[in-house]
Amino acid sequence: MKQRRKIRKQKAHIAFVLNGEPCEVAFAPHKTLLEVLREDLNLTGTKHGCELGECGTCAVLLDGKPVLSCLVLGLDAEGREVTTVEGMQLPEGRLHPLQETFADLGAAQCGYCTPGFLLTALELLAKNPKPTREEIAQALSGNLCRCTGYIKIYEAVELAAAHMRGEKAEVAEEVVYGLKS
Amino acid sequence: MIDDEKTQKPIPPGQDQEYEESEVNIEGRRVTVRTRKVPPLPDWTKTEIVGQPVPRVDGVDKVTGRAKYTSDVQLPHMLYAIAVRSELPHARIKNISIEKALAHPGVHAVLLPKDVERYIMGNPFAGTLPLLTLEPKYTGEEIAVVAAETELQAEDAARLIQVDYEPLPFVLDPEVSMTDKSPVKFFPEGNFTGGGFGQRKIGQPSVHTRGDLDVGFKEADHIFEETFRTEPQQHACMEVHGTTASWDGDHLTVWESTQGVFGVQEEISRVFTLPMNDVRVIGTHMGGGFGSKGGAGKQTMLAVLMARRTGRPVKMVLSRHEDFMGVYRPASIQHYKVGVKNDGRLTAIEMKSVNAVGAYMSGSMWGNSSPMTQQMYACANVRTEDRAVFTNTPPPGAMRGPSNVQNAWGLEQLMDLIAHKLNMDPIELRMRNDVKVDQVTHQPYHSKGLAECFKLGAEKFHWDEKRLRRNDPASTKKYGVGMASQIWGGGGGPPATAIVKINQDGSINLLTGAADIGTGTRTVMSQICAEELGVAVDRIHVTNADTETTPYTLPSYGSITLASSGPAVRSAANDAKRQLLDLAAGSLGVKPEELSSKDGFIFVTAQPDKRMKFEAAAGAMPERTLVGRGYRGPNPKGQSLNAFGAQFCEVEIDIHSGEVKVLKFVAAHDSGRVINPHTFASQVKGGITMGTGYALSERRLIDKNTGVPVTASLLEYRPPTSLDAPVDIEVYSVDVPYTANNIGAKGVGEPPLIATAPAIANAVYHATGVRVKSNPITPEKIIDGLKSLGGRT
Amino acid sequence: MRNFQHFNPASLAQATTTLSSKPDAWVIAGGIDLLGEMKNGIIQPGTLVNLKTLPNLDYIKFSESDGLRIGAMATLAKIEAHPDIRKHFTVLSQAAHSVATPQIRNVGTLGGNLCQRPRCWYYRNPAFHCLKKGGKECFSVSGENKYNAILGGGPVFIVHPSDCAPALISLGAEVTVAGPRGKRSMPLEKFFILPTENPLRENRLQAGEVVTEVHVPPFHDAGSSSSAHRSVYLKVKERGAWDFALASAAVSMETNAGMCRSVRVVLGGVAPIPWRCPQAEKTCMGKQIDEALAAEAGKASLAQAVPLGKNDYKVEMAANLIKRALLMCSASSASPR
Repeated sequence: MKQRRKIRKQKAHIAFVLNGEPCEVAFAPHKTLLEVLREDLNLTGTKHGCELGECGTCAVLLDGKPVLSCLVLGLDAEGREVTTVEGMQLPEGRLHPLQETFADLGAAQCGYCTPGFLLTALELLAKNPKPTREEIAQALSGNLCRCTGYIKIYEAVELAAAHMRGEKAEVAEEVVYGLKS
Repeated sequence: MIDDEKTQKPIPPGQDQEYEESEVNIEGRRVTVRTRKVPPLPDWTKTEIVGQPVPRVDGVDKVTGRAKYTSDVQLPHMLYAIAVRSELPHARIKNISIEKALAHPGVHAVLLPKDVERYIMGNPFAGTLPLLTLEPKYTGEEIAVVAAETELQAEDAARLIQVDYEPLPFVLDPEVSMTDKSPVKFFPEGNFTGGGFGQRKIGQPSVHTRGDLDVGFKEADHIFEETFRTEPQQHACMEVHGTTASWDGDHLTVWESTQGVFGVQEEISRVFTLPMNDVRVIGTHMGGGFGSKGGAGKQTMLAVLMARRTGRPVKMVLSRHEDFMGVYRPASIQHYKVGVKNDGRLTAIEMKSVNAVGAYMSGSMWGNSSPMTQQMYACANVRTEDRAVFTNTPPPGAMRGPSNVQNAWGLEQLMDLIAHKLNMDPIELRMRNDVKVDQVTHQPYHSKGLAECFKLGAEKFHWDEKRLRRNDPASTKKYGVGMASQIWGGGGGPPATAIVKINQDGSINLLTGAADIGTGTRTVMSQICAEELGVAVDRIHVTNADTETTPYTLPSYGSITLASSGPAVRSAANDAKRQLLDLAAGSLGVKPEELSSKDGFIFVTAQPDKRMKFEAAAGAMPERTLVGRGYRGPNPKGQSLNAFGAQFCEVEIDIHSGEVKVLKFVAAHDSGRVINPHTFASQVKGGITMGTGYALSERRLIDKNTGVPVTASLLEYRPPTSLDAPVDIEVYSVDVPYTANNIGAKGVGEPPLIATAPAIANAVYHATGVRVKSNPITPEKIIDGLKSLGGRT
Repeated sequence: MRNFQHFNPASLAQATTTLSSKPDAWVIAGGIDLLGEMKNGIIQPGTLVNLKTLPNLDYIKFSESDGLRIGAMATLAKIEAHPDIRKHFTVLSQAAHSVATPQIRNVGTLGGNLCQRPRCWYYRNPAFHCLKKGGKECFSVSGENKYNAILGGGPVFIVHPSDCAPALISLGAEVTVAGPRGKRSMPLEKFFILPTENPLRENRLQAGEVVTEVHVPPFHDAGSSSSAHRSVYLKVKERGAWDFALASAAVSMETNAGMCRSVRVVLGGVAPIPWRCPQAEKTCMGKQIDEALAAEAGKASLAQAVPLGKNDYKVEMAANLIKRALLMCSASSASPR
């Protein structure tokens, strides 16, 4: 088992659609999509948290579905569509409603888990424009956050969903009761 | 805003050079520092920006992926470094063969213990540790380090390094290590020392004693003897520990995921004898710390050395598995004997704690779990003994609310147990033992809002009503409520310096050394600066946590960031404002004392329509810039500065499966003035969630037979997911006035975690009658507990 | 992760031939389990044979006459959401839903879920050369065994980690595997093997073989008005998501006029294989199920349990789950809870 094998050296070369643009990249074939994105394409918005599929910080969209880029081989992106946090912004650099509400509500604290949450939430809202709190919690259950306690994240998803439905929802004022204001 | 600016007197020359002593309480450690006297600023009576839910100023950077973390730093020609770690919990290394590794493609260098032995790490928080060792004392201890051009090459090369071990006996259980039966002798005088920051001597516990226990127990109507245990908790920051080091000639730049760039700078400078101006440490964005990133890590030093050796930038970011072999909150065993009168007054408390602190002296600083026992409740006769016991495990470190979190698990359950026994409301029991004076320092608390926390929390939670609710005996779902309270430091203190620079267009640069570890430091500092200058937050750009461009401040630990750096920022902004008002006074034809600054205008206080725009005043600056300096002044003498809080929770338990679900939390905290309700509530909600993990699922476990950790992954360690965190958390600030610093705030980073786990345990007892005395409360403990109660399932 | 060759076969036949001709070739489907094992250094494949690019392996087909057919490459997300599965095979959609996390279910396949390797922390940790990896010792026996087997253990005491397997066995599923010598089918229950048979493996796949399909036969009188079929999957874990079962129970039951006409009870998380409970089934057959009978069925199923020291709680937990699942399946309400 432990014996080293002679393996022919090669570089994989794939073409795929990255954040809406055609993209070609060559990389060592053992690399995961996470490594290809961060190291070969210099898109470090996608974070590495455990590299074993246990935390969700590396979540990206593959053909529109959230997957853990640390458990997807770079080779598997061939011919497919990959969306990272760098591709979330709308035309003219406007923030996506989810990005806006995550920023406004403080759903990003240390911010390290944020890109994974954003992309997972993006797909949730694409298939379910008005999710319940329980549906949001279920959809995001693969993304660990050690700072927020998740509630702010739910609120941000709910508010973004309302904005995307064209509703005029406002940023809810943080309820810290007992404050004299 | 400041209405009585005119009461401020300009500082006469030389007076700002005066110093006095000030006490600072950091993570329970009280230090006295020489402190520059700072002219007092009037209390903010009415604020415009402070106290508002201002969105985080760095939110957009974080939601776009633009924010660069240490692990994102990629430099041309960068090498990757990986450590070879001990496979055994205790061994002597007879030989290390590195030839194969050196011959492996892409490998640049291997460092061995002999290459690094003259560099000894040591600072008040890291303790003294060898960088690499030939006698590893715990599984995962660093033996060698290898650097290669790719991560894969480095990993492969690390595997090719052959280490010949001579296994040595090891001990993991502190209760064995303490005795003669221990197969390992850590020191000739014994295998334990005192825990905490006080005077410690090997073979002796650290002791706090007051009054006479015998007298106290004689006075008691009831005596309770109980033992509680806590398991080690790991920080599990979403960003693991890591460093990237790059030399440019003799100038070193280090990107470090840290809570304090200056501590890292000092340590590097000391260990390698480098002038501090050649050591630049940058920690602007970092993915969580919770105490684990207080100073430099071994990987910091190894990356710096490796970069020097190879002449290339070196990145050393730990794997998640390695991260789990690092620091943690130590385990504790807490034996209590408590005497109580029928009316609930405590007459005597004896507490003996055993804390497993790993294989090095450094861990013993965190080996106490009695601070709350000493302080929380009025009791004349108290004796606590903390033993920090050495074991063949990694040394622990600070973790969010160190010592108090462990202590609260035992003490706050004990209070609940006593209340049940005396048939008394647990709040009533706590209030009967309330105390206004710090019983350890004999100093009065500057402010104590605990009674207010009980009152407001109980009211909002509907405690009286919920406490009396009964469960349906036929249902397999049981509901219960519980509460607990807490004390923490959080008063902050000097030294902290801030710089506020006004540019000629009226824009402002705020330079503060404080780290933003996710708490919102950048945001609240901007608010303080904006409030004082009378401008909008978006006019301010904050630069923080970079030793080359920002001034010194204490690290972001001990819940001290806001109360340490915040006042310095206000002072700096005030200094800048005074200078600008001096200039504006000429233009407006009045004396500077007659002017105010608010809403972007500088105006005559008595005649607000006589005004000029802030940027117009800035545009007239002859030097085209203006620099305000601010310092954190001393804390008030003879007072203890503490934050308090009470938490209430409701749980649902499935007695068939043993699963516990936390339905609701109400948290009432006394942390002085809330600078930003968003960030305040975030700290509380996040703390409660981390506390829920401590209560229900998190546990570091080392295999008893081999000394190898088996929970070294996020899967096995089990931090709470979205489906485990409390569904509903209400956060209240009791807003008790606090005047010990010029912003009126104390810290809230750690307090929210302290009361959480015992509140949950108390609710579990209320629901089921099962008193779970060791965390985490996993399904098996509920099932076993119910079974021993007599088969209630 | 070590380097390897990556091979996209043109056909299933080419995949199985390659797998059987190269001893260090491994099949990769979703890759969740495999890449995890490779990253942990448990296995080091020289070649990965990718099934993802093969057509027609990810179908889900249902008809009243033929029952349910699921291609091995169907993702767990697709299975959990499939309307026919939710309606007729609740136990399977619940089991699929209970696996790991949404992102993993988007990638993880049914075949992978059935063939995943054990999650025992000694097995997953490269520091332990355990019996399961060809070593000499099962470290759980005298070690940290709270998650290990209470039934069917020895000489290794892993528990089978699959949630879908107990669910499918409760439905009487068959599995089809393809190899260099063609296809063969067997009851899914017979697919899994105890460590006494081979401590290194958990199933009967031979060199070059891959799982291609799972077939759930139709119920005999699904249309009859007096009869009802219900199934349920209950899983206890220590976290709300990304956790394996401390114990789980899959129960599938046909009732006629309130009487249990046929029932299969399968436990997960307690044995090296999905653990069929004939005692529970016998207890219930032909009877109206009430609290006492369900409790008796649960107790009877665990009579043979041999806890290792830190997993005693599983005995009571598993019995409770059987009891609850039986009551849920026999409840008079029309839809399973």
